[in-house]
Amino acid sequence: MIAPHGGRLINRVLEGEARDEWRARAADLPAVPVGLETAFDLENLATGVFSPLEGFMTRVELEHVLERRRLPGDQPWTLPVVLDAPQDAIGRAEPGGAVALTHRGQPMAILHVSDVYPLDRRALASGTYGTLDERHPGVQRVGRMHDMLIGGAVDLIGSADDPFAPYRLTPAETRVLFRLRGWRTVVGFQTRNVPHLGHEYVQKTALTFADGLFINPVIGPKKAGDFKDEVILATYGALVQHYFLRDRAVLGVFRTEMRYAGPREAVFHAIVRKNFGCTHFIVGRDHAGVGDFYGPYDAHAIFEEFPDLGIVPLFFTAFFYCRRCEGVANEKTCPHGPDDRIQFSGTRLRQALEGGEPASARLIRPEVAEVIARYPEPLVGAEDAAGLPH
Amino acid sequence: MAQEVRLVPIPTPLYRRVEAVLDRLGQPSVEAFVVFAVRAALGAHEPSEPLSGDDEARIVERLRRLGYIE
Repeated sequence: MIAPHGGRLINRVLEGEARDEWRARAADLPAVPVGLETAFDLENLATGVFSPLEGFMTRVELEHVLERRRLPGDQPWTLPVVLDAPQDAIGRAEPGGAVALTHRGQPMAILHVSDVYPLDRRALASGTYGTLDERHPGVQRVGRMHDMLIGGAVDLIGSADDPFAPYRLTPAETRVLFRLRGWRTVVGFQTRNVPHLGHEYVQKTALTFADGLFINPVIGPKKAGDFKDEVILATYGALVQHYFLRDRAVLGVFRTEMRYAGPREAVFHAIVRKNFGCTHFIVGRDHAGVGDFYGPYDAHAIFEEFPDLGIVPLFFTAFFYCRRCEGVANEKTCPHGPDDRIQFSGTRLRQALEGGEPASARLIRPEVAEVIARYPEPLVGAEDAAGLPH
Repeated sequence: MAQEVRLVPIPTPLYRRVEAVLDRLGQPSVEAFVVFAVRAALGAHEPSEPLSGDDEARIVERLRRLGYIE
């Protein structure tokens, strides 16, 4: 089994007496309310999804990540995991002390404060997204953050609401599952979309040489026009049921927000899947991109910086359906011209659905299309987009 | 932010061999290449801690309950 990133799977979920004790003490600690995105971070930190991180980054850790794309211990790490808080909530948070992180009024975690420091918006935005352009949703998000950051290890004492609990597996659980299935090589597939035939082709191509496939959709705030979480999960459920061998594919969710940080987020996604126990990770065209902020294959090139990542990236170019080949192909396998090709794209699929067009059987499986048709509003609306633009 | 470094000697002929093909290695300096090469070698040798028996039994039970295993 592949080692977790940094060699140790972090577990900071308190149980039994320790949890009861900290829950009781939380009432007397300074309280810092956190939103859903941070609640996801807390769960991911505590259950080892973000191993070797044990908490929110201190100033030193953040500077290493932004400037070198590595943690102070030299492990590759490309995205900040930070906690911002308003000044009045931070008032009594001092290094060496503890604060209670509350979600929807309930204590969710204890933060053991190591550092309290001012947010450098320019450094955070440029070091994460590679741009200061305010049209980028991540840059906008940084602009909305509070002025101060708190760093330190966290202990989980509660949980966020989880409508998809049966699909949420911790890295410890997926690792046991993969081993019980006898998988020595596991390909991780990241998605924030419903599956079209191009996705399925990539997954099955990878599966021809790996023992198992871990389909791991991102569940969490997305931008307007993306498919809703429940639709993504239901469509993948249909795809796995009808088109995969039961003992070769596992569907489980990764609760987090999309950062749309392109190449840096691709490496981050690979690290997370390594922690889940994947040995390989599929990196597609314009992975985690938004608009035209990143080149279509920037997310492939960045992996050259990290020979010590541990997980093997599998780079795929764009696929299309060729009428003359009568199958899925790509630029390397198909000699025919653009008139014979039907391009796969989530955007095209969304546009077809928004326009009321029936999805082509060459674009999407009928069982998947049927699932989408059950939802009167399958797409995230502007009112639910958590400030992310279309 | 200055990075703390340690000096590790390598044989001069090896240094010169790297220097001679630096442009093909895609690295800006011999030092950068050595760091890259050491990281590449270490990538496959991360330590790993096993789960305890109790933890594993609990996980197997949950996986069974959720239908991931029979």
